[in-house]
Amino acid sequence: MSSFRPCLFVLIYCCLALVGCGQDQSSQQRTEAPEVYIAAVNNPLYYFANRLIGDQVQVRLSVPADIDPAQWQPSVEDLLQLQGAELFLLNGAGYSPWIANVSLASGRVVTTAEAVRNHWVELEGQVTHSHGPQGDHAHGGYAFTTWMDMSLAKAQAKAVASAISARWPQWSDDVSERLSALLADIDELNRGYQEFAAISGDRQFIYSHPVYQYFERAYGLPGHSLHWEPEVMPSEVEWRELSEKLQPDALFIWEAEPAVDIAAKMNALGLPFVVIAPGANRSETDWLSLQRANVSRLQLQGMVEE
Amino acid sequence: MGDLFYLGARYISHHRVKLLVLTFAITLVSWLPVAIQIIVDQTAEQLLKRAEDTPLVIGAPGSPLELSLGSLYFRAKTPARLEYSELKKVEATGYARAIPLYYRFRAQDYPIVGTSPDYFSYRGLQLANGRPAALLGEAVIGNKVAEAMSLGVGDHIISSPESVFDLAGVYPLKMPVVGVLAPSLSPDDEAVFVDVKTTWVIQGLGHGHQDLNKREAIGQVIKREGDNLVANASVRQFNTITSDNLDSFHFHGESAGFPISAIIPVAPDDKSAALLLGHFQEEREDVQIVRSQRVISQLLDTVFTVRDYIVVGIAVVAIATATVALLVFYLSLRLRSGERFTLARIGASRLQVQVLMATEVICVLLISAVLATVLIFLTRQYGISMMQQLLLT
Repeated sequence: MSSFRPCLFVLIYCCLALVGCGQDQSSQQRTEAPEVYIAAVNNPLYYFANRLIGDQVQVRLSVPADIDPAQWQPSVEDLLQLQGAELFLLNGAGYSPWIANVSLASGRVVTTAEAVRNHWVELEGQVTHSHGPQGDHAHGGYAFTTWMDMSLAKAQAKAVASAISARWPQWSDDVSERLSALLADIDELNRGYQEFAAISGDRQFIYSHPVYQYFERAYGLPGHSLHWEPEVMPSEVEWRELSEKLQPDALFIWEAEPAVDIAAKMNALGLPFVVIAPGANRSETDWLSLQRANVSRLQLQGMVEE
Repeated sequence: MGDLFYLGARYISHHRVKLLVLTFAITLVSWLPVAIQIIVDQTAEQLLKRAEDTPLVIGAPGSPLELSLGSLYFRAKTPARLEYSELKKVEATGYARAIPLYYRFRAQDYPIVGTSPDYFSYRGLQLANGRPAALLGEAVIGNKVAEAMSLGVGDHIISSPESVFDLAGVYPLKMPVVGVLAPSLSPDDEAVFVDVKTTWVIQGLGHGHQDLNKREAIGQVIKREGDNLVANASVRQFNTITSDNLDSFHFHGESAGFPISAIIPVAPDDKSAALLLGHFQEEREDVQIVRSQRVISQLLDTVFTVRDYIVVGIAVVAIATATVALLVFYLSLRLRSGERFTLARIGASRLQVQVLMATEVICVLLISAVLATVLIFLTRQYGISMMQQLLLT
């Protein structure tokens, strides 16, 4: 009886076979050799991948330069491009929330901060909801600028290296060598930030945007985050609120160079500022250079303060 | 000689019904065993080809045959459940990439196959129209589905409820068709492909609903507990995923625990495949890995035995038919003894009389042979599809 069902299946299959079998199965068209590339979701990962893979495989960052990759919503065309990538490097920590509702092969998607999930910074004040028989389910979120903690950036670089080596084992030695150099560079950045943190003591930090959570935690530089855009003049009310909070040793951190009139107003207030660019966006300057520039500015700021 | 042909033709014309019946019977018994052989062989070849293209399949413990038939032909009605986390475990071995398959749901008579974009490149499937599915809820359909349901790019296909009596169950999901596959001469022609996450929405593990923070939803919100809004069960859920409501879709729980039916591991070489096989056979008892080619071969062995029985049966019928034909020819010759006598008396030679008598037999055998050959050729070319059309209509 147990062999009856399979036999029945095959007999039915014989009758209802989907095709005229006389046609040569080899006539099935196989897809042409696809273009091989790695896709990254932001500039740090784009840089890591480029450093690690060298010239062997093209690395693409689909996000336009004027759009924050964290806010990017890919079009269908973008998604089809991502589907074709050999590896798609995601940041993790809720960086690309659209990933939940698109079709991508999980085996090609690498969530680079996954290994350090227990270090993700949970955001407060996120609304969750519950309804129906399923009960509670949360939609809380995490801070996502993980690479601003250089130890997490190293973990992400290692995740990229691991994914590349797994995909192209023949290049694993080269990748390993390049990873060592990359980690050394990130260590250098780490030391730069730590040195600045050491001389900054307990001074007050005001951040232009809430994207420095990992930086604040890693280097012991907690502060208050605003929602100021470097090119948009804040309102008088915002300036007043800022003035009320200011302490004599305050330092304002911008994501990018503020507009001239904003800078002038800050100077008039006697509020020093410095740019620490997370470097998430596509840029002509690579991520490491952007970070080195951050460190240089901080060192300069430290010397000025001294 | 012309006289002989004329007389032979007249005889055949006069006894056409008898000769037609004889020709039909001999044609049939000559063609049937060969046709069965051809159809079974070609089907076996096709079954094995699919199995060869999918050498390994991973699924929940149970019948290897059910797993192979389900993952290769999407035929299983109630596939065993495997956790999606197994996909990551397969990939973590480093021996293979993994393609998920979830074929529990149907759209009318056609299986809805939840998978990943890798499935299409793995099977070498090409699009005849449209584009691949890129967003949650989008469907790409096989060409037979498109033909049978008169669907094309821009139309919608609706998932069928598992039970019509499950009134409190999950609403059918209306999915836009974004692509139609070119014929692939495989079960993929008869399937509806979506992303595996879409099948989870069909199952009710994920859903989209009105924003509870918005004014329109105020009637559904029972209370606010800290950062959590508690709503009643009347929250309006969407049964179509559109660009407007896509962002509202979310899943309950971790996808690692969500169900799939099977995993196709895609190993880069034989060595990796062997290592993967060994890994699962030695270290995992909670999942099974099967060599689909071996499973299908075992199944085909049984089928070949059944085929042999049928062929033997037809051979016996053929012998009986040949005996009856001999009897008919013998009786015919006896009935024509007067005709032979008359021919001899009007001057026909012995050879001419014999040729004339043999015309009947030669014609029947020759026409039967030609017809059987034509039928065998047609069977080889169109046998299975013709049979399918016949059964469907």
